Amino acid sequence: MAKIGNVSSVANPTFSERFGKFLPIVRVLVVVVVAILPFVGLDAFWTRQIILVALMALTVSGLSLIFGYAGQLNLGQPAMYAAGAYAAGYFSKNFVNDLAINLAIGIAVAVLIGLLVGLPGLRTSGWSLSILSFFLVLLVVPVVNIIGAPIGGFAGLTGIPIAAQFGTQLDANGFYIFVVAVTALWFFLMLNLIKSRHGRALLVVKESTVLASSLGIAPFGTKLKVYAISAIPSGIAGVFFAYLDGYVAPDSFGLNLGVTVLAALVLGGAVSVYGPLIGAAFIIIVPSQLNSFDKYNAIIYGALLVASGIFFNNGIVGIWNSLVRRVFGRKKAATDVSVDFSEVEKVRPVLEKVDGLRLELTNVSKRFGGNQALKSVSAVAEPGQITALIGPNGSGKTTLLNLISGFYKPDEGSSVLIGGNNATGLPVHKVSQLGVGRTFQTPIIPEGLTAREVVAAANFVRHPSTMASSILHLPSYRKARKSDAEVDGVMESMGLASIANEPASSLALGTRRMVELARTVAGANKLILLDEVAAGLDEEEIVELGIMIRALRDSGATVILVEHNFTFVQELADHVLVLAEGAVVADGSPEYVANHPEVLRQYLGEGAAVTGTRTQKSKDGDKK
Amino acid sequence: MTTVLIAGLATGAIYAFIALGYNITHLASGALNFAHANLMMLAVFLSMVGLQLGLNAIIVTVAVAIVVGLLALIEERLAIRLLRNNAAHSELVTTLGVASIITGFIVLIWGSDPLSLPAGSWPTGALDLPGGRVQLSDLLMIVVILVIAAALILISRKTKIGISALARSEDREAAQLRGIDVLKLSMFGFALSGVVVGLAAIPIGTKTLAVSSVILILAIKGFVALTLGGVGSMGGAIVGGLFIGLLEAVVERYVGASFRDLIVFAVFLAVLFIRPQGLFGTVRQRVV
Repeated sequence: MAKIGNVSSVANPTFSERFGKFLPIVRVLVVVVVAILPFVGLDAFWTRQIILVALMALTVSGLSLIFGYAGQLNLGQPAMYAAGAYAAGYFSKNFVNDLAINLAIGIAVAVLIGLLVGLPGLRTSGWSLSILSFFLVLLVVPVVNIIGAPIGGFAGLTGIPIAAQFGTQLDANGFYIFVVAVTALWFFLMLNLIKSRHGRALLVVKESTVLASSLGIAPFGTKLKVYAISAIPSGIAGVFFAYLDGYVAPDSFGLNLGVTVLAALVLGGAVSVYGPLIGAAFIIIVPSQLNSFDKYNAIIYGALLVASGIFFNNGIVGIWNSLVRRVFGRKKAATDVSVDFSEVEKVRPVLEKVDGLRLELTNVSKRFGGNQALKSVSAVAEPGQITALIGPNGSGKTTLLNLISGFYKPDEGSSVLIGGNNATGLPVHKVSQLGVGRTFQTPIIPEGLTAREVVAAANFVRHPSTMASSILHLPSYRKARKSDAEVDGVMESMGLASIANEPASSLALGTRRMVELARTVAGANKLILLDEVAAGLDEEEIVELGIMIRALRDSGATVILVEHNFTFVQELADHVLVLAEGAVVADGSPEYVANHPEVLRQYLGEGAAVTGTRTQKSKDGDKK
Repeated sequence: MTTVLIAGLATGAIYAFIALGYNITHLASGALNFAHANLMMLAVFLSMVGLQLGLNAIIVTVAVAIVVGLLALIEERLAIRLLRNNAAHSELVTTLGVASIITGFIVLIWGSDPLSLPAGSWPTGALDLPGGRVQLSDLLMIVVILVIAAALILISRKTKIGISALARSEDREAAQLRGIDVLKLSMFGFALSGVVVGLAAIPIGTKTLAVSSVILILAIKGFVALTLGGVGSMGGAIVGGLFIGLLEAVVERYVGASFRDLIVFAVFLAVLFIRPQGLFGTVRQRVV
C-alpha cells in the first residue's frame, strides 16, 4: 500500500501544470495556421482532404460525447449526417441558399432524427440504443426512396448550388475557411462542455447511474440532452458534405460509415476532445495514400475495434497521456493509494450552516415478493442530530435507506416526509435535489475521475448551471466554477488534499470511503444518509470519520447513520433506532437502547447476530 | 394467403434463429454478440464450399458446426475475455469489430454477389396446400429451426449448464460463489452459439443464398425479435422472430416492399416505449 501521508505527493509539476497555460494560445494558432494553408500554396487535393478530415472529425466528436463521455453506443451517426445533408441540399436548392441558415436547418433536422431513436433507446439501459441507431442507418435508403423525387430517390440529389453567405457566393477557399472556422468553433464549445461539471456528470452517469441519480443528476434527462447535442456536429458535417460536391447519394450513409466513425473514435481516443480530430485525420488521410486499402478496410477497421478493447483504453490520446505521465513526474498510476490519518490534524472543521431536513416516516412498508423487508416503520429524525439505525443483518436497515433515497418504491400506505415535502416514491434524483446526500455500503467511485473531481461531483445540484451556460461560459457557469474551489477547502480539512489529483479508483478502500464522505460534505446536504461508513476503516480513519460526522451535525444537517459498530454509535448518536426483521423494536437515546431488554435479546445480548457489535456496556451487562 | 404466410414464417424463423443465438451468449456470458449473424453467414459460405467439393451434406454440417464453433471460441477469447474495461459495454465495440472482420473476409474471398448452394443439397420443390403453393425447402427449414429451438429450451431449463447460465445472468457474483465457473460458461456459450448456426447452415443458405449483404439485415431483425420476445427468453425469441417475419410478409404483400423495414422499425419503437422488457421478459428491481 503506497502511503502518501499529508505531504504533497507531486514533486514535479505535471505536463498540464507546466504547459497548460499556453494551451488556449496554441489551439487558436493551430486553427489560424490550418485556415490560411490554401493561401500559402496548399493544392486542391489537400484542401479537400482537410475538409474531409473536418467533416469526419465533427461526426466522430458527436460519437465521442455520447459514447466516450456518456457511455451510450450510438451507431446512428451516418443517419444524422444524412439528415443534415439532405435537409441542406433540398433547402438550398429549392428555397434559400445561405450557408448559415442551412446549417441551422441541417442541425435541427439531425437533432430531430436523433431524438426519434434517443427517446426510446435511452430509456432502457444497455444496448437498445445501439440497435435502434443501427436500424436507423439501415432506413436511410428506403426512406430516401419513399420520399422520392423531391430529394432525388435512389439516383441521388443533384443540382445543389454553390454555397453562398449573405448573398455572396463562396469560392473554394472561402468555403474552406468557413468549414475550418465552424469546425474549430464546435470543438471549442465541446471543450467547454466536457471541462465543465456537465462533463464530469456525464462520466458519472457512464460509470454508475445509481451514483449519478443520488447526486441529483437525472440519468435519462442527462443522456438525452447529450444525445441531442451529439447530433449537432453530425448535422453540421452533413450540411458541408452536401455543399462540398453539390450532390448527395443515399448510399454514402451506410453502416460502413458508422463502423469507420467508430474506428476513428477508438483510434484517436473516445474520452478526449483531441481524439476525434486525430482519429479522423488518420482514417481519412491514410487510406487516401494507399492504393488497395478499400479492399481491406472492413477487416482493418474491425481489427482496430477489437484491438481497442484489448490493448488501448483511450486510443492515441491515451498513449500520449501515459507517455507524458512517464516523462513528467508520476511514474505509474499507483494502486491502493491511501492517506495516513495519524498524520492528519484532528480538528473539527466548521461547515457552512444548513437548514436540516426533518425526516418523518409513517407506516413505511416494503415487500419483495414473499419477503416483508419492512413492516410499517414509523420514525422521525431531527435536524442537528445524529440518528443511528442499527439492527442485525437482514433487518431492513439498508432497505430503509434505499427507500428514503428513492431507489425502492414503498408499498401502499407508506409516507415519507423530507423537510415537510412528500417524498414517497419520488425518483432518486428528485429526492437528492431536495438536499439529500448519501454514501454507499460499497463506495461508488467512477473510473477516470480524480478524487477531487469525485468530490466536486456533489456540486452538481448545489449550484446549478445549465449545459448551455457551461458551453458558452455564461455568468451562472462562472459562479458554479467558483463554488468548485470550495471543494479544495473540504478536502483540505479532511486531510485529503494530498490525494486530490490521484485517480479516485486507485485509492484504498478506507480512503475511498473518506472521499465519498467528502463528497457528501461538499454537497452541503441537509439530510445525510451514511450506509456503514465505518466498515473497513482503521482506527485513525474512524476517529477522522467521527469528527466529520459531528461537524455535519453541527452544521445543522439531519444525519442518519447505518452502523454495525455499537461503540461507535454510542459515542456519536443522539438518537438510536433499532430494527429487527423489518420492524422497529426500540427507539430512543443510546443509553435507553443499550438497556432495552428486547434489544439485548435480539441483537446485543448474546452477541449472536453480528460481530463487532459488543460494547463496553453490553459486556458489563452480559453477567458473565 | 398460405404462400405469404409460409414465406413470412420462413423469414421469421431465420430472425428467430439469430435471436436464439444472441440469447445463448447473453445468458452464458452477459455479452451481446454483434457478430452472431456474421458467423451464421460464414457458416453458409463454408457449407457451400464443402458441398461444392462434393462432400456429403451430413459431413459438411458436422464439419461446419465444429469450425464455426471454434471460430466463436476465438471470438470469445479476443472480444470478450481480454477486454480491459468491462464497464460501458465495451463488448459492443469489440464484437462489432469481429463482425466487420468476418464480413471483410467474406467479401474478399467470395465477392459480394449472391451465390447459390449446389443443387440437390437440400430438398426443393413446391407443395400445393389449400390457399396456395409453398416451397418445400422453406417448410423443412422452419422444422429444422424449431427442432433446434426446442433442444435449446431443454438445455437451458433442464441441464446443469443451462441452469448455471440462468443463475449467472441473474447474479454473476452469487453464481460464482455457488461454484459456477463463469469463464468456462462463457466459452461454452460462444462455442454452442457457433455450433448451432453450423447445424442449420444448409437449409438457411438455401433460403437466403450465400451473400454478405443480408448479414446486417438479419442481425438487426434478430435484435428486434430478441427485444420483442424479451431478452433471455428462448420462447420469446421464437415468437418475436416469427411475428416479425409474418408482419414483413403481410406489409410487403399489401403495402409495399419499401415500407417493410419502416414498419418493423415502428413496431420496435412501440415495444421499447410500451413494454421495454419485451413480451416474455421480466423487470428487475434496482439494488444498491
